[in-house]
Amino acid sequence: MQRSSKVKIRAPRKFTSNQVDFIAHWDVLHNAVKDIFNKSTSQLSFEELYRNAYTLVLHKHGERLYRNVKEVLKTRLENEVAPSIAGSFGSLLETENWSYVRNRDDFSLSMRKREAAILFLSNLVNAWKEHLVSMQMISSVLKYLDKVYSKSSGVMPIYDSGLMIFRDSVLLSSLEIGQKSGICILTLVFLERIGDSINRPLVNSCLDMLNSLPSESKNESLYDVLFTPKFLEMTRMFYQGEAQQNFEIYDVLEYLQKTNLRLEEEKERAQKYLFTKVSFALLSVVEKELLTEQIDNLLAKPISGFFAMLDSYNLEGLSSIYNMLSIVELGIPSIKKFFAAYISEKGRFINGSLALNKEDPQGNSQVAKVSTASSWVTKVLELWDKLREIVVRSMKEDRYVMNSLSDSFSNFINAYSRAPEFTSLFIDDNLKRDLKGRSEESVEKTLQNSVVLFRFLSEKDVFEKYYKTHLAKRLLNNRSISDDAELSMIGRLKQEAGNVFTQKLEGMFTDMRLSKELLHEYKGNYDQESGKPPFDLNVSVLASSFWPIDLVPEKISCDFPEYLKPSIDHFSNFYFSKHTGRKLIWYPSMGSADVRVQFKKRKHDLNVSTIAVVILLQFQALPGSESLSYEDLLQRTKIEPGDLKRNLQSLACAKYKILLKEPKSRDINAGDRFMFNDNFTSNMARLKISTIAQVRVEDDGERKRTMEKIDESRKHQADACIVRVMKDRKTLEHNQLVAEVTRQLSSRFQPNPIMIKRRIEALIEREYLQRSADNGRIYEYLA
Amino acid sequence: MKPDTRTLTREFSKLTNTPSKTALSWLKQYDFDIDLACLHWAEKESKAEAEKRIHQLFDQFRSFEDANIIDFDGSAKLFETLGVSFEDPETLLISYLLESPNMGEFEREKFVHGCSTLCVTNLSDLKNVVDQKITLWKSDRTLQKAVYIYSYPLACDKGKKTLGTGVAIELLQVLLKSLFLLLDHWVNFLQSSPIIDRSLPRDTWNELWDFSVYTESSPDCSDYDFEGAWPTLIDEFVVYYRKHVLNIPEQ
Repeated sequence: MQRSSKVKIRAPRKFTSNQVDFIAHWDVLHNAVKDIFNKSTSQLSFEELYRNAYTLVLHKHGERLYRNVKEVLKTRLENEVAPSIAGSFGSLLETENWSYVRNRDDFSLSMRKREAAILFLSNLVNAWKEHLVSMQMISSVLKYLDKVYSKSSGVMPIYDSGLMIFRDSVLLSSLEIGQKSGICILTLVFLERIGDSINRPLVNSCLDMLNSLPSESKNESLYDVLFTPKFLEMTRMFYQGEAQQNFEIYDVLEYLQKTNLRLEEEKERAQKYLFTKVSFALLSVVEKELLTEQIDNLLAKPISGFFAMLDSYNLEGLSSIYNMLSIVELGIPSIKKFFAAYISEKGRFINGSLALNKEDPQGNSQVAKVSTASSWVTKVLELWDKLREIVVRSMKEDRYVMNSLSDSFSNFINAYSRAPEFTSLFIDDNLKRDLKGRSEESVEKTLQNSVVLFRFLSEKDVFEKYYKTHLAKRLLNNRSISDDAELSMIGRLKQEAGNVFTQKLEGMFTDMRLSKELLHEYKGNYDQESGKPPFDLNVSVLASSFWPIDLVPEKISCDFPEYLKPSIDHFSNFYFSKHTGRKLIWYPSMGSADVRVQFKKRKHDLNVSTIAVVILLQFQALPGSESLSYEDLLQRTKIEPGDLKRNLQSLACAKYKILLKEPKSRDINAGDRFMFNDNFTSNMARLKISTIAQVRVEDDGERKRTMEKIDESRKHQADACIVRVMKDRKTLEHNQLVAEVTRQLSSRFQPNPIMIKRRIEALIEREYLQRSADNGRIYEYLA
Repeated sequence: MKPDTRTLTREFSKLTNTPSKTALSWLKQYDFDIDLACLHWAEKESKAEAEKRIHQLFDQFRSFEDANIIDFDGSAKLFETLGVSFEDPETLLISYLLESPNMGEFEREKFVHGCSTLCVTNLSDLKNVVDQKITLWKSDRTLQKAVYIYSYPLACDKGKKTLGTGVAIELLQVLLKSLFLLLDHWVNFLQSSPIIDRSLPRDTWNELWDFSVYTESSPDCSDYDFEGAWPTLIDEFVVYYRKHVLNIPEQ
């Protein structure tokens, strides 16, 4: 760096303030300001004025100048501008009631109000605009003041200061011009809402003014303080009234349309001449008043409400309900609530309508009852299909609504104690062959639907029990549509409930397949051995663990007649030669036979149950017209009395009377006598005498027994589950154990906590578990 | 063997009058700290001595048929010697202290263990201790609970694991007389329940103690936790008690 040449620094020349005549300079400026106010600026010389101000500031008169200018501005605004604006505020505007349903003003009154409001606002806005122009000029003249004085002493530039003076002396003065401007704006908005057209730019300018001025405290503008709260309150009152009125006048759809229009309108209003910052608050108020507050009323409205729309499958209406209500937070929950109520009402109705049927007179009740099951299932599925479709098509498949749909269905289905049985009966009905008038696809679809029902069942173990029974009858009587259909049904169940659930069902199929193979082999052997067998024997070898077979001694005690015995023994020998260490138990009550019977007139082929054959064979050896008593038959055949009676009934009391009964009646009683009906005639060569193996609804006694068995099996399952959990966890607190066991068992059934507790106690007794020494609520696993 | 260990062994052997092999193993056990080894040796010796004396005590009452057992007659004699009648509830306490497996029967091994725990070796010491415990039993909750819990298996018939509800009730009336506020209601409840014909589960018996403690703080069972781990029989009792005794309608 080069050394600079020596420069002598001189002390600045000193001015003392009294060297300059403040008054003289100020007068010039003062007059100029007055001219500006009067808009007669043509004579003014900017350069001269600037120099005056410059001189004053230079001579340290900045502060005084600043103060004087402010004083002049204040005086003018307070004494001239404010009173003139305030004077234009008409008394019409003084009091206002913003409710939509106030007594409507007549047309001329609202017009006068509008004019008054516009007049006042125009005056205010004009004064403001003039003030802005004046301030621009003044601030140019006093630029040097701003540059030197304002900055260094930390006061606002004179321009800003001028605006503040406008705020304090006009808007916030004791004349309350700011407040009044608010009232005028609200009046105009109100008039616009009820259909007038108004001067939007004027309102916008006024709001712009308010928005540009900060309020006295806090970080808000006058807009936020003077306008927003009142505006929102006025909006609330307005729409509260409108909501009530519209609710009474319009139906739900119209109401929602009106609401939608209002929302659009308010959105536009906020955009066009209010400020977007109020938009969110404004819309919330409108949504709250028009929607949130009215949701329940709307949904519950008779005739056009939610239930009615569901009933009439009004997709469009439901869709608009959904769309409108999903705007507000409480909308979807309310829809859920009403949806659930609707379903439980419908569900109660379906369940109830069948309870009535039950009181039908007993006669011919069996057929009626299977159809009851079908009609219950069909009704439930119809309802499900319909409601699901509604949710999919009109509610965008809303997840929450869908959940509530499922929950409500599950509730009412499980409230119906026969649900598992009926579901299985329904599937049975659809899987049976020889069903006329149903296409394969429709059956397919129905079965698919029945899985939906299965999903809702909480007592899946009960369902399994019935399904096994029904499946067994289908398989053994060869009544299934096809193995494919059966297997695909089982596949579906497996998908829903897992491998374990269908294990036994699949086992039943395996047994049937193996039996066929076995029989094939057996017949091959038979042919080679000794020519034609006396009759065709078909045996199904079933594993007792898979099949729902009652292995009680009475059920399997049957003295097969001599004619049948050799074949039975022959097959047994064959079987034992293949499988050692197995046991065959002959179970007569589930089989059937085709027999050719010679009557007096002609031969008939009869398809009867195995037991019926055993009974008929008792008469074969009997001469002519001799009869056997019920007791004789019982003693000769040793068939279980229930089975015997049922079969006798179908042989002697049904449509085809193969046997004659004495005395004649519908029921079989002790002491009844039977004889072969040699005179039997029929047009058909082949007759089916169906008895047992008919799938039907259980009567109360059977049902009680089934439930007892299920309870017993549940106990075992609960025991096993508790032990499994405890073995894994070693120690566990009571409630956690109950929760875990409930969770694990719920795929099978809904265990009751008391039942679990009893099982825990039983396991303590049996020393699988013990209570922890220091806390009785904690269990320990004993290995 | 180092010279000093040899000396130590010799010394230990001399002190305790044991063969050098035994002496060496004792010393090794305590890392050749001869003082410690001697101390433990003496303790064990005195224990053995004490046990011998307890066995002699046992022999005074033992059965003629089975040397390892004090039978019913022997027990009667023992109780009498200790100043307690066979009908007194104190027999339960004594049975607990001397680890009787069944009412009116003591086994040698358990008897010895019991006496050792009580640190008694002769009859007069035993009587003193029993007298002390009887006094303590009147107020000490821990001891009361221990005796209570012990009484269930004690009262079971030989070889059985459960106690008939009828017998249990008699026992409860002795054991919980002034302890369980709702005892009378509980007994009435049991008598009206089907459980009266069956046995009272041991778990329920044990938990009843805690339940009786609970009822002290909440005599109307108003905050009873039905979801909790209480045995179901106690659940049922609370329902019965609130409904039939307190006449509070079910919620």
